[in-house]
Amino acid sequence: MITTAVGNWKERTFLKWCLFVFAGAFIVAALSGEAQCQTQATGRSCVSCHESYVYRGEFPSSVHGNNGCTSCHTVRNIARHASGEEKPPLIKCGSCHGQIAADFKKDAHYLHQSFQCRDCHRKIHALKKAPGDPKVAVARSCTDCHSSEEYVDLGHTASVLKGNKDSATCSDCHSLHKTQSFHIGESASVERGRAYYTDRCKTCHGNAELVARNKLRPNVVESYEETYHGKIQRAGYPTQVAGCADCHGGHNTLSEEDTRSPVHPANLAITCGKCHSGTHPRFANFEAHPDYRDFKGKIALDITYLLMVGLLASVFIFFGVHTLLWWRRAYWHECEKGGGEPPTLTSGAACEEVPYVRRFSWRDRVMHVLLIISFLTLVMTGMPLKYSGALWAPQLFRLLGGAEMAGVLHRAAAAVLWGLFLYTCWLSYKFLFPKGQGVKGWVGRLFGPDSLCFNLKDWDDLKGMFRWFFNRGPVPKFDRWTYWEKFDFFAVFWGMTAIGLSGLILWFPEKSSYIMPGWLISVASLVHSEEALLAALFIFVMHFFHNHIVPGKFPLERNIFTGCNSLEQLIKERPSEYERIMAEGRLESMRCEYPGVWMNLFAGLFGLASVFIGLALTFLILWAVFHS
Amino acid sequence: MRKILKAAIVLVLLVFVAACVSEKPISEVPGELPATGLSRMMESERVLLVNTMSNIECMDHRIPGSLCLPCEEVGEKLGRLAGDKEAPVVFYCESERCYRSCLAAADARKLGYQKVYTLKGGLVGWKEAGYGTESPDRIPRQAVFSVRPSEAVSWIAKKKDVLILDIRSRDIFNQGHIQGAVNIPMHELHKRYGDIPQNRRIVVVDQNGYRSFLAASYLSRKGFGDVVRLLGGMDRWNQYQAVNKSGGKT
Repeated sequence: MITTAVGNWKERTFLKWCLFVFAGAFIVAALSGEAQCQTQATGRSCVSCHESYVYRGEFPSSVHGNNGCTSCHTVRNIARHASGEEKPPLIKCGSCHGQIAADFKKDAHYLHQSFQCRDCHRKIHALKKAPGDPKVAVARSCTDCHSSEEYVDLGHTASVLKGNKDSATCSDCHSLHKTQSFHIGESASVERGRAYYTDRCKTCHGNAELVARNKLRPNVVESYEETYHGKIQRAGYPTQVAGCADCHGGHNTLSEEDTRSPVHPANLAITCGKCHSGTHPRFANFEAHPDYRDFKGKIALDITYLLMVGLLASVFIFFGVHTLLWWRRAYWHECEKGGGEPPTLTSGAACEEVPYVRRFSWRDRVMHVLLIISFLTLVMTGMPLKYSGALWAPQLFRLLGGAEMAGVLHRAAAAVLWGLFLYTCWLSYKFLFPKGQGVKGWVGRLFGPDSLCFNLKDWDDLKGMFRWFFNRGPVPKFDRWTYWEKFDFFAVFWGMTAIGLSGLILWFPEKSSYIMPGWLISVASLVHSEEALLAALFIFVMHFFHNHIVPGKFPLERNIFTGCNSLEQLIKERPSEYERIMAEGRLESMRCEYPGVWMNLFAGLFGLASVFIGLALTFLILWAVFHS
Repeated sequence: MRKILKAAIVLVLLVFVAACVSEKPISEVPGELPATGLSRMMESERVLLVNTMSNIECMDHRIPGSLCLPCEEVGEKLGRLAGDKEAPVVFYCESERCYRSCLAAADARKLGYQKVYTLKGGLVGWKEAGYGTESPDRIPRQAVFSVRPSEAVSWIAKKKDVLILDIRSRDIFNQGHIQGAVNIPMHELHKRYGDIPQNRRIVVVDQNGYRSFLAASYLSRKGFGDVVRLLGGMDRWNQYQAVNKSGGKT
């Protein structure tokens, strides 16, 4: 019995405990449930007063229908509120839609019109998710106010309304809750606006899949970036050039076949004329999106591209091989054999005791200094434009005082180079037709040993050098000018024809349209750009190697600054010239003093600085080429 | 001689120090106060903060504690306020350029206020800095249709029953306006909207399209059923006229 009683007591205690635990759990559950159900419960009480159909009928099925009234509207004292003494404070949509609210603080509608959420999301208590494509819903919502045909009847939004899900609706360009307003305020705002919208255009039109799906013209972004407009824009100076909307229009963007489009051929002159005044109508033939590789449209562009690529490739391949073989012969091969000093064409002798002979006159030296200054300036100011997408381009522009200042410096340097070129032409004329002799004997002078024109001996020397490269012969006996020096000289001549003329066209594009079609400006742009690359790399790699890197000259050949060679250097480097001088008895007249300390110092500092700048620019160019 | 030299040096130094210490009177050069500066000033001292937009705009959105005093009425009404003219007065308006607040600041200086400032960047600058506004009488925005100048011209040409309501200041209106336009400046609209006929389509015109939206919303709230606004205001209208000289007359 006792056992049974004890058992019953235990059983009752256990049951009590169970009941207690269950009751506790129930209370906890009820309390937590109350927290969840509070809004619903309060919601029901709200509609007992706020009894219109909006709250009773529409709100429960709206997008916020799962929330109770107090999710948004907070009332401290329901009795005071019911008696009209307490009004609920303004609702804060941001308490749930935090990111949108934060974005909206930067939105033009808020900043300039003090918009609130409900100004667009009207009928907030009956708000429903718009049926169909959200892009259409956005367009319809925006056009409640921005209801001009300018925005929706034409262009992207019209396409959206017709059902194209790829086309841009208002928010794709302007964003939804961070709408920018660039057309008011100061110029900095305009600058940001042009960059911003051009970037927005690039986002879609640079998407190859989207472009293919919609049968749009491919490579419009890349081809825009090939032009002066695109390059300057990329380099961070968008106010100075046309962005996408400047030519294609901001909202009523239409195909170029549409006569209402600003880029329709009939309207192009007016469109270009907005920025370019004083042009011939044929200026509008300019290729704003040149694709040099598609063999469509202006075939001249593609042919020019091929020619330029061929030119660059042949020069770099030939002189690349030439330089490598020379380097191998001069350094690597000899060092590998471990045999003494590397072979040189020259003598390193340079001191006050040895005799010196004149190689360059004051005029030549000054001309070369001017050439160096102008050439380095041209490369320094031009390359950040050519490689405007490179990381260093905007920095270099900034260092130079901006793209506009770089343009001024580029033109000033170009004017100096043009002056040097024309003066060289005059000197060449005087060399060929000296006073008193007229045209008599000009062919002999042209192909003579003192001329910079190629002759048969150069061909022999070239072959001789290749034999020497492969240890099959001695170094050729050079005369006054070697074939690579003549190539340098000729490169300037053809370079000035190509770079100089194309540069003039680009300098005066509006005026040039009176004598040539607009598309030639695109050709000029390509020629100028590629020829500049050829010139820069040739000078900074090949010319530097020939004159400063080879044994006996490293790190700098100073004779172009000092004007003198040692006699030993003349005998070793140019034995044929030495023999001619001796035969003609001119050695005494060519003797000169050892260049003084100041001249040597200037030569060293200026020369080394120039070489350093050139090599630095080469590094930047190669970085841009391989990075892209 | 040395004494003279020393005296001269001391004199020069004194002049230099005096020049550095002396402050330019603010009344001569009205300062531009950034939003953060205004906020700090409001915390530390009593500031007369004046919203120079219209009453409608000011009541719709303003910096908390602002006095609504339209630019056009500053000269007339600011003097009536019994206030400490040594206390700082800060004017602000809607736009970043603050043209109206600058005009008001000039009037305040004429009235003898010593510390006159304008808010840098106006109300936009205040909002951009992250500060809030208050809306004692907010006007719910309406979906106000905007018409392009070409469309407005065609309405006028067809002699449609359209009332061109120009809400710019009277003096600016007198310098040139759309033919047949009626001028009720924005700062008078809340008093004079009753003069506007209810049965006509109203085209609200402002300078650049930024004030007409609120004015049109205000009129809608007041029961005007057919209110639209001119896209881009008179700036856009004048551009259109320049391109199409055969269009409407100004």
